[in-house]
Amino acid sequence: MKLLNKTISLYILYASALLLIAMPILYFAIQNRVAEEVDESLAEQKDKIINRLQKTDTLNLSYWLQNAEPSITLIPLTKESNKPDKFYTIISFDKIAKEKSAYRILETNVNLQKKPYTLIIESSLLDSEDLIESIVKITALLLILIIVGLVLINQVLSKKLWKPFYSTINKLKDFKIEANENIQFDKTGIKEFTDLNNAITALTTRNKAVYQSQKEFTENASHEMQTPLAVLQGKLDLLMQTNPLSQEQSELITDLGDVNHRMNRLNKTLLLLSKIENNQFAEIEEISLKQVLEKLIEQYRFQAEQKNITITNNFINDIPITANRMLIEIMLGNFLSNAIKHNTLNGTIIITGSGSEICFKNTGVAYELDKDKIFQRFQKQTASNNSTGLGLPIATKIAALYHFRVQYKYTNALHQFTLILY
Amino acid sequence: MKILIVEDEKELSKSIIAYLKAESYSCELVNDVRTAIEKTEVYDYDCILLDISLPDGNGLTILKELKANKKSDGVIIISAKNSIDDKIAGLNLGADDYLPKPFHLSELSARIAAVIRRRRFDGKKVLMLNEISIDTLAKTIHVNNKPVDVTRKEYDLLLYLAANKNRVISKNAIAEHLSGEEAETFDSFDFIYAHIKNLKKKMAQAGCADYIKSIYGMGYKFEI
Repeated sequence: MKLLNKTISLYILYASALLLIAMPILYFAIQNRVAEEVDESLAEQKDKIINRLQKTDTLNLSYWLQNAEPSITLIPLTKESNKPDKFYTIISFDKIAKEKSAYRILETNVNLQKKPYTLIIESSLLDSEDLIESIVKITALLLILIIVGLVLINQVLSKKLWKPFYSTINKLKDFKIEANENIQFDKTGIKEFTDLNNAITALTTRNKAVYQSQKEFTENASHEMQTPLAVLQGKLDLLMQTNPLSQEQSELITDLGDVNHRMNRLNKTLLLLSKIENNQFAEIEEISLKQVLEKLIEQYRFQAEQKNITITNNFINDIPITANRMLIEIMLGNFLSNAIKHNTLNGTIIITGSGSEICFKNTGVAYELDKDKIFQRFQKQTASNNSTGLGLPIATKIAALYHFRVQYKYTNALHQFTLILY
Repeated sequence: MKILIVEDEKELSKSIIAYLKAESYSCELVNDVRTAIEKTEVYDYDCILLDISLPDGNGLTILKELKANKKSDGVIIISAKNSIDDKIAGLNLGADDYLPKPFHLSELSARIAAVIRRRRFDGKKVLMLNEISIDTLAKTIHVNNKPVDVTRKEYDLLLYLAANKNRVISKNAIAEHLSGEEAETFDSFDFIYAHIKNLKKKMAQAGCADYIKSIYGMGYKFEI
């Protein structure tokens, strides 16, 4: 639920409750107020009438007694009464309006020409049904006006007032830490949003700086490693030329050379990985995947022959893509060399390309590899000595760069890596 | 043959000089851009080994100077950066080759030999070793003036061994040389053994003496 809708619905709930409670209160308050007013006017009327009655003669009195005025009734009493004035409300049927109406009555005793009388003055009250109806109508109208008003204000608010907020959110969604450009916000003129944008800018700038220095560290570290590795390599090459050289020394030199070779490869691979992450392969061109694959198969033919691996290339329909040639060669090369490296003697590799995907199937260990781990760095699933544990992570990294997807499956005793182009 | 080494890492340049001395090259060493430019202005070198990151600047400035002075010294860039941009920039500025660090000294030696061969204008692109002659232009091998039918890999192998004659070349170095820069080399060196065996067989059939020696499983040596 949107924050605005949440507040608005609370407002509406509060307004409705308030109006509901207000209705009976309003009803009784008006009723009371009216009664008070009527009582006052009745008392005033009483004084005026008594005044007039006391001045009239007998004839006129009989006119009064015959109910000459509909709202005034004069009833002769048999004996004198000293009861105080009495106010009360009666409901009687109004013949003209043909409905029940409420009347306020003032009953008082007067002595006219030395005879006691009861004087009853009535005044019509507000009809309660009418009153309730009016109150309900007015409150309902008010409620509708409040709701419509709030909804309209809400729309305007979400369109105008919250616009910078939504634009900030959209920019955050598009934010990529590895992208070069920094996040840019428009001026909002509203303090909260400006604060928010400033906080986000500070956060992303800091994150970018950390990410950048991390990347640079890997690259610099790998670069700095190259020189000592080169020195070591050179010294080993020279050591090999010394004379005399025993079998034992030769073996030691070979072992050192192998370790150095592995270190070189690891370092080069790390460097490549950090270069991919640093987007240092910007040049792109049209590439024929079929050609690249054929070239790679030729390149690795000898390695495959050593394990007597049969490579079947069923890649028939070419898929042209636009990418960096070197990266694509590395990516496909890694898939292929993995398929050779982790293969069994006399194994097979089947490469298929159909429409939008390339699939490398190979024989190998007789169990499914851990899908979550194989794409992670330095995760070696087989006890292969010559694996850096970086081949697949690099291939997937390159794939991700071009929005390709890589999937692993183990079916029919074949390890299957599929590169989905789109 | 005069070689100028422009390299600020002392231990590395020491190793390079020690290895190349046996090849009867005369090596001169400088370790910054300024001295390198001074040297190249005065002398001509058959090959210059050029490091890119030097204490007083970028090695590519030396290349620019050479080009501006219309010098035709052969140049091999040896760089720790292995960046494509540097490689392209270097080759565009007239460098002959680009060798990323770390490298095998045997590889460096082979590349120097190739650069010097390419730069020779007397048409002598043929390498003579007793009864063997390697034509580096046609990429063919003759023994006693009779052609030997070798594969491209076997040709590369023989040329590599010959360029490092009388030196032990490790199996790693051979594997890297034969696989090329792009391909990942596998630690299983059976394929080198297979190549060597095939080459030796073909050479022997052509009546060539057995020059290729295996050294304790460490590597091979072309002994002449």
